[in-house]
Amino acid sequence: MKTARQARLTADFQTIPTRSLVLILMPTLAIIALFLASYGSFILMSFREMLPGTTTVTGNWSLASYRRFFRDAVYPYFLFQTLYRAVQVTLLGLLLAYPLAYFVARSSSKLLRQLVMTAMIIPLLVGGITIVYSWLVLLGNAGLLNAGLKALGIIKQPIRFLFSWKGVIICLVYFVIPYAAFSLIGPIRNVPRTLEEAAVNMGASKLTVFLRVVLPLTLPGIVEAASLTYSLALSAFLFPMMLGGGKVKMMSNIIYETIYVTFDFPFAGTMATILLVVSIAVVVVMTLLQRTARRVRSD
Amino acid sequence: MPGEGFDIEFKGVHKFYGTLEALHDVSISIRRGELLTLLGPSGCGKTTLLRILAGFVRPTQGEVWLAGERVNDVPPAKRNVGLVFQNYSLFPHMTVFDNVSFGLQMRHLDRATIQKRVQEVLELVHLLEYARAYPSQLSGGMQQRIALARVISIQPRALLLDEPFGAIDRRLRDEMQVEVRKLQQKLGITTLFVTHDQQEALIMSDRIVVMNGGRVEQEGMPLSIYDAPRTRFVAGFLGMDNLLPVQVLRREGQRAVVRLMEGAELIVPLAGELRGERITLAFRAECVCLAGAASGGPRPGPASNLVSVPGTVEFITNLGSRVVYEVRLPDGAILCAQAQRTDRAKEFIRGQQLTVTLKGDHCVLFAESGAGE
Repeated sequence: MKTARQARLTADFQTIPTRSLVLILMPTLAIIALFLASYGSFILMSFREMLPGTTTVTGNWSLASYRRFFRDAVYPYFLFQTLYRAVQVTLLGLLLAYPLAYFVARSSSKLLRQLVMTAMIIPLLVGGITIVYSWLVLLGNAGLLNAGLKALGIIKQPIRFLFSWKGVIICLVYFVIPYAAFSLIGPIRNVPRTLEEAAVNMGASKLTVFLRVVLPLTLPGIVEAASLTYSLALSAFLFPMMLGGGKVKMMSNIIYETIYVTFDFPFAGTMATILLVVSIAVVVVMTLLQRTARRVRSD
Repeated sequence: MPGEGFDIEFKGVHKFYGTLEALHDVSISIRRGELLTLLGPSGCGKTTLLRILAGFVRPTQGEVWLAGERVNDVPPAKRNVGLVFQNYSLFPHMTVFDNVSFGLQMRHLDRATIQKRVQEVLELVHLLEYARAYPSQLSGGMQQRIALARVISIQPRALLLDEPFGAIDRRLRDEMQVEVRKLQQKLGITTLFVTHDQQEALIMSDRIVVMNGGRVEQEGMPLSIYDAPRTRFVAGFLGMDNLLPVQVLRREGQRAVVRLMEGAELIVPLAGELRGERITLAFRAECVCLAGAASGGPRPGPASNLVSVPGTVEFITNLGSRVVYEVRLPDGAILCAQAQRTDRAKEFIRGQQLTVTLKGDHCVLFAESGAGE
């Protein structure tokens, strides 16, 4: 129940005029508007006609690029590959990020917590090229990972990580872990520890506590982390380019090549638009899932 | 070996967090079916002791026995004790039924047994019709009853209540205290109850252990602790508002003659040993008798069971059914006196001169060690 004081405080907040709220949004709105305009022109470009055999875009409207995308099996295949690999990255990323987030949310040692947090922030600080370079060193045929596996007797022949999906997936998973982990810390922290204790007190094993209490209660957070991770993986460009060595490609790489190698702007626009529609669809589905998860919890 | 008839025993329990000593040599035994309360301020170690029994905290030293079994090395999930938390800690994503049946599911009982047992305990807490509700749809008091039903359902070897009424509003709390106590007596379940509220401890307990700074300060029946606190801390914590330094003149068997001030002597019964330099006389505000006219100073004479001294009303607190007066004595000490408003003749105003009368039987004496402060 609201006390009179709380009610007054709420009322005070509500009296901030919408006018001033809009004012503080102005700079951001301007940037967003500019970006959307340029994105819009790219989408419009996808409906333009290209003079066959040239790099000239005519002024005519045409669905030729879309027809081409779906006629040639290779492009839907690339789209499918991109979606499929993004699912892989999302699942692996969540699987690895969850324990990290749980540790940060629950560890009583401030030092360890900060160490783990720092380790999580580093990939965000150093940037893509450094990450790629590090993984090139680690994943080579004579790299640290293969050497280690060989020394342990797990493999005889080196595994071909580089210029294959394996290396790209490993690197992408590494890249998305911090995003997933950071968005999971809050939801995990919001599960009162006494709930876990109550379950243990009732005789639940650690695994049962996780499956029956922590996991369902953090489901909204997991869905949120998943949609973030999935979007990141879907738009991956640098890692497949550098570690795929031209052998494995995701949609962004194809779009890049279409722009800078064949100069086919309408077709690049087509692919970008299709990728955008798919991404939005995924985010919408995830958001609906998340709402359902929340409703189950708060009912 | 555990003592006869004791369901729960702490033997010489110490707990260190780093160099901080949370518990110092705590030994407590709880009889079968008894409700024992750990009473003390926050940080006194009472919750740590409860969590040691639940298995969430390992004692640094000492033993914990539960129903004749040494449980030091038994993991919390296998102890079969029912812990009720202050914030209820119901699973928000499960219905009342699923919450209550959780422990039974963990014990892999068949569906029919679970159904029957849940129904029984929900009937016990009068919430059978809410089986399909979610905790957030229930009031605080109802949630607390569900939390209770959840732990009772597993037929625990002991019930552990950790400040269970802390989050409930006053009026409901009084109801819940009585209800929980009745339920506990009906089921005959051995119970460890933790609270910082002396009123609650008096209402609920068979026996009270007052704790302070990780140590047991005093242990006894509720009213005997209320009437005869043995340390300044216990006296203060149980609402003995008046603590006066006095001089012990002589002892007469189980009684001592003390001097409050020049010419005011009082015979006070002795509960136990009285060793130490500084002796404190403690009594409750409601045991101080006020009379309208000034007596004109202490009258010298033989010490008796009654003593009267003059005083001046310094401050008045109206509580409705009663009034609390702060009265200044001739030597400067301030006394708290409480008067029921049944006798309108005994209403005083600020600055009024009056006579303060104390009865020795209403007072307790204790010696203060330097460390007790």
